[in-house]
Amino acid sequence: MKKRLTTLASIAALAAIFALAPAPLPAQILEAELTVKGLACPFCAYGLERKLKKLPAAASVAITFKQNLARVHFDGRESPDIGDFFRLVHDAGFKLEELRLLVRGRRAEAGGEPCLELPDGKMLPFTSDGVGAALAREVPVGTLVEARAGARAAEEDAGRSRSYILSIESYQVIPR
Amino acid sequence: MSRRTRLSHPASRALLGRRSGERAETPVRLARNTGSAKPRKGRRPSWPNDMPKAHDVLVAVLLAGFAPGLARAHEPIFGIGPRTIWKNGFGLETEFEREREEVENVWSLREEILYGITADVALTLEIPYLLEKSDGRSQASGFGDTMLRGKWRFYRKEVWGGIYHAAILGGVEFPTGKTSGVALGSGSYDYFTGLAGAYEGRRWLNFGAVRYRFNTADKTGFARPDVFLYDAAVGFRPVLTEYTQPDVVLMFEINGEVFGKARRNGDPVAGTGGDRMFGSFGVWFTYRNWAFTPGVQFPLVQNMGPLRQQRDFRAVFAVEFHL
Repeated sequence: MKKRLTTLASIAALAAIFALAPAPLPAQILEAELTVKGLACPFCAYGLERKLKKLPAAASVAITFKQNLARVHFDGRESPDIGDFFRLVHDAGFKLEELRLLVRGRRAEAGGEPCLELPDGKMLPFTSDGVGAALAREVPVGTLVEARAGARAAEEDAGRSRSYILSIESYQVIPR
Repeated sequence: MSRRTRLSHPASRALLGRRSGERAETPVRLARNTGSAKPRKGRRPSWPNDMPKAHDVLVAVLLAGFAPGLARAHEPIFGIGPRTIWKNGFGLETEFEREREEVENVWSLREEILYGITADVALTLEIPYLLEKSDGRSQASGFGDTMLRGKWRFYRKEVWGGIYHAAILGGVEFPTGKTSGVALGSGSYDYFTGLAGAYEGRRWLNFGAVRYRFNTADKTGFARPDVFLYDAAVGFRPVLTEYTQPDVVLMFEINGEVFGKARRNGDPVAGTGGDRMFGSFGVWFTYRNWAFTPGVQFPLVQNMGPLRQQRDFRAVFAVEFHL
């Protein structure tokens, strides 16, 4: 009997630990693929690696000269601002030509525009044309979605601040 | 190379950039004042009245090994390029150099700290240390003149697998080296400015630069010659490696120096001035944020007049670390 009680207590303790542990991340930027101009030598590209590792939740950075690519994998709840990618690449001495993201977020609306909402509250608007139109039309607000998208500057305010918009290339609904 | 018997004093070397000529001409006359421009071999000359005094010579000697470089980060080994470092990045470099000019041997060490204010503006502090300088008559060692210099990369156009860029260079050398006894500093504030441009691609790299060094007078009224320097370099990467692999680039350079006249109390010193050109070969070995750059330089043409020694060669080995 005593042995059975001990076992039950252990199971209860484990259950309590799991209950208190943070839930799996419901949404985030999972991966970024940066097509970079100016990548010529490894010694100089080290600065790019250093800069990209400063992105919030960046877990790893891989640079490929042959494809002019830098890939960043993220592992965390916090998400970088899209503008951070462009700023950090410039500060490293290169030019970010194209940014593609793998994003997991909830379908949302902000100011009448379709968006993906990240867990830290960031809203990533996306264009409502092509695949984006299908996402906006067919996926209800609040649904968890994983999307691959390109990011580009949407507008510029007197040359100082920029906002960015996603162009959805593909998506899939994540089952609850 | 023809070895004219000249002074063993590399006096007043205007160091404009350690990597490409930088040393100003020695305003010291080696020959006896006998009317003959050709000194007798193996004899130590006396100092004619119209030439700089022993003090000047000492000042020159001290400067022998100190040819300050420019903010560098993957640049020509004896020349200079427009490359800076990323914003808030630091670079540490230790460079070991040996130079021989006829009877003179110089072993020197330079420590450099490079900082990127932005991706296009970099500052470098250089602290030279002369390990040993021997001219057959005396030896000197110790710290030399500290130099602060900067680059502003005013143009940069990134392309696929390469970059075109250009930078303005400038700097000042402070008279921090001692000038008494065997002097290790110039005793004067000296300035330089320049322009560098490059295309750096995956396979080929091309560099070009011009610099001008203004040397002011020291307390005795003696000023080393101003120097104009020009550099052209081509780099070739035989194997296109990936980012995480070691990288090798072969560098071929032409480095030229054109010297003005040394001045005493504003008056030109006779027998100074001239020009010379060098050919250089070096290799960049890099692995991520480490760079190892050995190089050697030989004279191609030297028209330096009777008061200057001929340079035999210069060799450098630098280790650079970025963090």
